[in-house]
Amino acid sequence: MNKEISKTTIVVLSGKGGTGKTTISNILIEKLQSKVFIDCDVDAPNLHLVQKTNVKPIERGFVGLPKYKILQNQCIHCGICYSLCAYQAIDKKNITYTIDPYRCEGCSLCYVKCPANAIKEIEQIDGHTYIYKEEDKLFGTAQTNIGAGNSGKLVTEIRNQIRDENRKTEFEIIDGPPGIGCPVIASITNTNYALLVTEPSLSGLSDLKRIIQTALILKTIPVVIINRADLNIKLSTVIEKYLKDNDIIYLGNLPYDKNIIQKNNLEQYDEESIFFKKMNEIIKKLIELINKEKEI
Amino acid sequence: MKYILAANDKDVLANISPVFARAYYFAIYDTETKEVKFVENEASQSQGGAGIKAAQIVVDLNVDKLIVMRLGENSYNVLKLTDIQILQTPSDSIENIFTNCENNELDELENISKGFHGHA
Amino acid sequence: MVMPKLSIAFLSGKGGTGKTFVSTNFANSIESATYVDTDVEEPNGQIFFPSTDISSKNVLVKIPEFDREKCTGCRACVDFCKYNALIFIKRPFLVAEVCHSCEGCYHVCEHGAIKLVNKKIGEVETSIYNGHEIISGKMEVGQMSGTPIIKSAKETATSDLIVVDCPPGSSCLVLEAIHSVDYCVLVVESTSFGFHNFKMVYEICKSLNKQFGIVINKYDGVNTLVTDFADKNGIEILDIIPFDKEINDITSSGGLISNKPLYATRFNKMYHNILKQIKLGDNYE
Repeated sequence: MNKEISKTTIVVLSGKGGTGKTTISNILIEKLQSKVFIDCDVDAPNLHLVQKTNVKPIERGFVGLPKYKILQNQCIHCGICYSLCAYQAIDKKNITYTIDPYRCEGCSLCYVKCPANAIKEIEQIDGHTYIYKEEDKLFGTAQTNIGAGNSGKLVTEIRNQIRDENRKTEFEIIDGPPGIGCPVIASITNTNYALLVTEPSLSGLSDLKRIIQTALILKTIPVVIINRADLNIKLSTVIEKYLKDNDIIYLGNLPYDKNIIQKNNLEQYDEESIFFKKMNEIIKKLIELINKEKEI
Repeated sequence: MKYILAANDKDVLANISPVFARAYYFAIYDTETKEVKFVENEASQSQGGAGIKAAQIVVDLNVDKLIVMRLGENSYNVLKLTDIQILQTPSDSIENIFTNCENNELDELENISKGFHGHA
Repeated sequence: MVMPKLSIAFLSGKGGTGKTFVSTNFANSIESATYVDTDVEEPNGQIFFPSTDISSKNVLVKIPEFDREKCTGCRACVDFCKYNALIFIKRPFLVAEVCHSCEGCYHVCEHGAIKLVNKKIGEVETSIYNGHEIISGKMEVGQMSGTPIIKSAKETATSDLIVVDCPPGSSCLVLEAIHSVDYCVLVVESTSFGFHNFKMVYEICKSLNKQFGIVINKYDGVNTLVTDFADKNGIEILDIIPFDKEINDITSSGGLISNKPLYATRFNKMYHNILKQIKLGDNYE
């Protein structure tokens, strides 16, 4: 009987936006020969733009909590809904009350308390999930609808759908969202490593500290890469020192490479460039680290 | 004694559902009557907090033991407030699992899957 | 001439395009402008306006607490909660992580058995820099939603020109940040990712009927995805800022390029372009 290869899940995060998560996720998927990968930046997914897909995705609507609407011809203008809404989602113009669908969080209190039954429930599609199923790879992505408040749940949904496909892989890669909120938390849970991509700026360091904290709380091992390190060598050094002082694993840095930003897929990248040479070193270090952890 | 597990088909020969919170049904076995009953799992339709709601349903059914393949943190945190014993099983038919449970062949659940709202 | 109260939001869709860079320098270049950082998950605007005198106020939301004596076990609260944040095991319990602070359980309890208590989810910090009010919303690590913090940060602003630095993306956080603003500046990066995500916030502005314009940042002089789109759709381009080493050096070290007169003039011009555009929309005398 074959020994089952244990899976290592790596989520690529940054705290700060625009540091290179998707670009680096894309390279990792190729270099680690990942057969299962997910774009969890559901508010602004980009991985599908650089992944070559040969099939049409299986699309599913993701139904969120219903929202509510006031039926004006039944409303008795008592203002009870307005006084109860904890989200200030009800607008008042003279005696006319309307619910702002972008502020409404679907708690249903107005619906339950309206003395005139003048509030209607409206089903909401909060977003869509897309699964690209191919023989040698399984790719999941999702997109929230504008203003949808359920990014975190959509992340959980696409991760669950991918999990239920039961595809075997040695490395599962998750391209994560920016920030530290709901969708990030949903991307980090049940992963082994959080690969944090930062940039050499005070903003980058400030955001990095908060995402490291988030990863540690959720018991995922943070490992850090400084991208575009040569744009501010002084700050790169400051960040390296911070990581060393706080016992956070530092994998290395990458130079700013104009070509990487403008190219759309891996085939156009130059493997001889310094960027790629350093990327290969980083990946080697990462694999060594993972193998060492497995032995423990 | 009453045992419960999550199922996706109303058939004792079908396998246990690998997921707990969003399975379509719960199967309940009574050691006295030796009967298996299926009830709908309302939590499967939940927008969020399905694990919590599923756990609440299990609590309200007054069972003694819950058998799962895997369990999320939200469900676990609710269940640990009760005296319900949580047991683990690999994939198998519902019938076999209940038999194994009655023969005390199942171990207690060890690993909890960290939930969407996982905290330290 | 007395300027009416005006709020301008800076958003981008994609992260890292330069919302904070443009908005901090914009605020710095206009007399008495207030800067509000609503990227409450990762606020870093404060870095550019260093101050030793920062006052802080807590942002609180309500969560339920149960009175065992008054509780009759009717479970109206548990049945009401859409988030499944309440469970009943001989008495009600709160699952705090999923509570959305809607206060609904308190209102549906007919036995007075629920009390609302405060829970801190973040802070709003205020300071002054060169005559500018600097306001920063900060969410506590591990919290789920920052919306109430964004509301509180915006409400704290007192001056006549409010510059709102938004979170990345297009989620409910962004919508809260641009709620009631008069104008939106879309800060775009001229790359395929940047263009793709820009289209999302473009759609938001259009569906909310917001007046808006574009600033193209870190422009490499080559990629015309955004300029072509802007030309085709009649979108106002407020400025095109090139990818520049000096800007990068100063900004990455936490400095404001608009402290140099040449750049201050440039950002001020952006402001007047906006005013011109808005006036054409008939809102101001």
